[in-house]
Formats: sequence, C-alpha cells, structure tokens
Amino acid sequence: MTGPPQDQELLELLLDPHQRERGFGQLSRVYGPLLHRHLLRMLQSSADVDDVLQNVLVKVYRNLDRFRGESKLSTWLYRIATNEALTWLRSQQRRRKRISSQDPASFVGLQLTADPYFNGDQAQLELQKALASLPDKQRAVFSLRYFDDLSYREISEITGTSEGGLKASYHLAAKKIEQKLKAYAQ
Amino acid sequence: MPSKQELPELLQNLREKGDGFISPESDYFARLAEKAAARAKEPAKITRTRPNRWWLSAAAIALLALFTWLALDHGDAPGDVPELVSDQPTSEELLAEISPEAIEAYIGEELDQFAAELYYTEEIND
Repeated sequence: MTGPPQDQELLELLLDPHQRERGFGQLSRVYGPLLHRHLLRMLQSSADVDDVLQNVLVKVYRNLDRFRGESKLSTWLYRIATNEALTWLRSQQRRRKRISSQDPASFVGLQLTADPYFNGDQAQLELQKALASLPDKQRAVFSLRYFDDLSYREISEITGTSEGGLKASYHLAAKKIEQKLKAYAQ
Repeated sequence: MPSKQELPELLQNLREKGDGFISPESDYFARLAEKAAARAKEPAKITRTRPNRWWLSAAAIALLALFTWLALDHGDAPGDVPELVSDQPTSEELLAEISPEAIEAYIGEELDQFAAELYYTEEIND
C-alpha cells in the first residue's frame, strides 16, 4: 500500500541510522498532531495523552526497523497509538473502579470542563460524554470513522477487526450516541 | 467520509462542528520527540511481576495440605506401615524446620508450577 509522498522521504530518513533523529523529529511534527487528537478522543484527558503519546513515540522509535511498508505509515502509527491507549484505559479503569463509582460520562464531563485542550461548546461536551459511555474499542472505531474519515479497510488494519464487524460496531455506536444526545436535548 | 445513510441526522450536523479539542503548538511535538528518542535509547526496563501475597499464602497452605494428605491419607491400617516409613519424620516436622520466608521464596520462584494462569492475565512488558 502506498502512502502520501512525504512518507517515502520520511522512511528514508528514519531507516538511515545517521538521519534517524532528524527523521523522527519530522515524523513527530507531521503525525504528532494526528495522534494527539486521536488519543484525546480515546482518553479524553490531555494529561493522560502527554504520557501515552510519549510511550507511543518510544515504541515507534524502537520498532522503526520492523515497519515493512505494507500499510501506510499513518495506519501503523494509528495502530500503535490505539493499542497503547487501550492498554492505558484498561489500567486506569481498574484503578478508577477502586476509588470511585462515578459513571464514565459524568467523570469525563467534569474532566473535560477543566481540560486546557478542550474548548468545545455544550453540544460537543455532550458528544464527548456520550462517547465516554461506549466500550473503549468501540469508541476507537467510532472516532476513527466519524472524526478522522478513515475507511473501514484502514480501521480494520488498525484494530484487527473484520470490516463487517466494524460496520456493525460503528452503526451501533452511532445509535447509542444519538439516543444519549436526544435524551440530553429533551 | 461516512455516508448519510450511516449517520443519524443529529450526528451528521454535529460532525461539522468537530470534536471540540485543540492541538498543541508544534514546539510541543518537537520536545516530545526529543524526550521519546532519549527514552527509546535507554535499555528497556524489565519489570518482574511480583507474585501477589495472597496467592503466595494460598499456595503455601495448599502445599502444606498436600504434604499432610500424603503423610496421613493412604487408608492403610497402622500395622501395614513398614517400620522404615514410620521412622521417617512427618511432613509437618520437616516443614517446621523451614522458615516461612524460605517457603515463600521457594513458592515465589516456582510459582508457575502452582498458578501459571496468573502470568497469562498480566500484560506483557516490553
């Protein structure tokens, strides 16, 4: 699969040990904002995103030699970021269950109101709260399709789920979110 | 772009507004890349999973019960026990000579023999 023209140039830099640092800086500038935004939608906390994005970039750096170019560079990066986010969420949920019985939507609502990287209006806040009520992987699927316009094929490569399964998951997520938003509007 | 059939109207309209998040300045990504590259060059930390104290206690009790059963439960009449065996110290006597710390250390080292599934539930470290 071929990626954007900049990918080829980036990969040449990244695979050259003498140019790797420069290439990595360039990769972070080009794809960092995309991954940051994806992680914000997944984790819904910019403080967590700081940690997770750094972990993602460490994994990317360490595994550059394993990237075979069979998918787009962005797909590979999304895959690492999504896996890292899901792992983080699992550990956070275990911890949160021990200390609080608050439901995820209320928790995220409070968290985002104070988050410096969220400046959405009430409707956008309600959308984020509705997203928080989805299972983590379904939220990832919904976010990749709804916000990032990715094809089911790409999302399938990122999540390792069949395209049919993704379509069903996205459809159900959209229905659930719509119900939550309607309940809020009434 | 998701087709119109895929999305209820409410979500189609909301989609135009975006997610409400803002992105950091490019300096943020430059700094993050430097930090990540520095961390990536450090040798990967290997974190050993410490066995849970409750599991250790449970395994110690199970071990003790096993030794006790082996020593007592064979349904043989007392007279059937050969002289050689009856002279042997019991498992309780043998275990009494071993400190609880030593038992705990042994179980910790051999835990996979007792509860291998514990490891399957733990995440893989890099």
